[in-house]
Amino acid sequence: VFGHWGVWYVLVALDLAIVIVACAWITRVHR
Amino acid sequence: MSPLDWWVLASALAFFVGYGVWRSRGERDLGDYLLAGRSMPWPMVALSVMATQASAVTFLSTPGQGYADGLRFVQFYFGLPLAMIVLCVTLLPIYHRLKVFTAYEYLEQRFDGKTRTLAAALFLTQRGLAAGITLYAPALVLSVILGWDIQLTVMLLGVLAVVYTASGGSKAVSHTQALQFTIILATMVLTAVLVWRGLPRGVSVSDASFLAGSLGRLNALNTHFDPNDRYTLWSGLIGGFFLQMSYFGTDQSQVGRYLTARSLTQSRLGLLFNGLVKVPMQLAILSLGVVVFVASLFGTPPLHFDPATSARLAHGAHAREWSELELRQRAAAEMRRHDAVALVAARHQGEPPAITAAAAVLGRDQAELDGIKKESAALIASAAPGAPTNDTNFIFLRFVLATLPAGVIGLVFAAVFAASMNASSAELNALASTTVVDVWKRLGGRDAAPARELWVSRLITVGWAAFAVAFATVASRLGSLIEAVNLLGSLFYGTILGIFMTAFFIRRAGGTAVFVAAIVAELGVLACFKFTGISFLWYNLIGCALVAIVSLALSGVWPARTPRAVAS
Repeated sequence: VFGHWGVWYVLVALDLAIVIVACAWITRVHR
Repeated sequence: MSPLDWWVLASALAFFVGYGVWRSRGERDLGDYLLAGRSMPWPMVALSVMATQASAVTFLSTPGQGYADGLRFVQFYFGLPLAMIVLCVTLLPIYHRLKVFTAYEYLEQRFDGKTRTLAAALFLTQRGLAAGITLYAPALVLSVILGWDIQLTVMLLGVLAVVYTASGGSKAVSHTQALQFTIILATMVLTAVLVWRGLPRGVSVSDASFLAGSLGRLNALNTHFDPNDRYTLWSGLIGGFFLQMSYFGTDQSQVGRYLTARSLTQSRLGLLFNGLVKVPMQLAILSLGVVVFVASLFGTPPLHFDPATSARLAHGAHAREWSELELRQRAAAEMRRHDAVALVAARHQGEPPAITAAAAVLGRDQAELDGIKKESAALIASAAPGAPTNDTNFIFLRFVLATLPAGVIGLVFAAVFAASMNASSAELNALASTTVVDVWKRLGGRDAAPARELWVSRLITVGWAAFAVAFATVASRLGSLIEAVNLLGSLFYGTILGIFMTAFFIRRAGGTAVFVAAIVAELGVLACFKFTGISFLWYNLIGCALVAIVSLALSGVWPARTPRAVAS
């Protein structure tokens, strides 16, 4: 369905996941 | 501001407009004027898309939000990267295959003329009014800070944007956006470096983080599910996803930006780049606000950041109460400064009980200051009805004026002007595109010569700019209507997205079914707004789902007349 664009989509989703994990870490550490 | 700042600001504005006009050459037909001849590479598309979304108020209010409310606003953008992916899979290929000028053309090919007209009319209503607010909101802040007349400031912002937008159309808009957005980002980075360097000697990055965290400013993630809470992980991921889908997929301000790309691949790369950098960028701008907050712990910030409202209270009938509040706030801020220094010293000594005790004391100081702030807001509301009690948009510029060196201040103001021009020019270009393609050409302009089409488009661009300026100049007298206009987008977006998603995913739904479903969904969203406390981000999901469900139910009564090849 996604063709070679699938790699790009995974990259964008991974970037979001990293930011959310970073936000969770910032919130937890500095609570 | 110093003479150097005025020189920097004036030079930057002249350069922006001159560059836009220089880029205006070579328009031959409507394709050149409305879609830059579909010639843009993906970096231009990415910068243009990002610049369109980031208006002046974004750059004024985001650091202000970081200062007053911490990092939690970042959750609002969590749905954006996912929306970019889904749009790249669904609507982008259709728009490119059909070679449409506006998103609404697709609806006529898939459904019928009335559905296209409904979506275009909703867009023109909502975006036409919002264009006025895009001028008014930064003009309000700039006029107060610079001591200018608000009407003249609105007019200046409008004229600066319309000069190159009307003459050069989409190509001039994209090129100036790319230039201006790069300068804005460079200015924000420079400002962040200077703010960091302005922290007191001995306060490290770790100390600053600890201070911000102990006062609740590093609250980037809230995993509790509460539909009435505006910013949570879930409202951002789910509600935000539907909002960004609607904004980037169906709002011509954005569709018009990425349709300027020279190919589908370039459009996709532009949107995916936006998906990659948007959330980290917002987090960085909010963090700048948090650093400004930490810097303010070691100084005495004003009681209220809006100088016009402060002066009104200080010289009004309640001057004595205001003066008392200011004295209490100054004393509390001095106490907070003392206790912040004590907390940093306790950290450096490394004794956990002392750190905990010092953090608790600092927390009490902040609570007292927050209480005084609430009292001041209540006093403003009672003593000066109509005056804004929220001063978030003023925080960043007041800090810039008080602390940054000459020259940089002018650059920051130029960046605010640039951001306003970016957002306004894209809006004006989109309003002109929709008016020309979805209204004028269907009402008799279909066979006009290219030269005539160009002149009509330019005239309509100037017409929308005049409307936006006129609306903005009366906006100050409209009071709560401004909030209503800001809310308008949230109330319509879900329904418009629902129409497009039904077009793509529900092949058996016909034009009449989706038209009726859109009206039912809009009434449903309005009922949610009127009778429930559900946060606005969820309206996007509710509106979209209602259109899809009702369309599906009505497709038995009004099926699609013929299978449409454009559906997928």
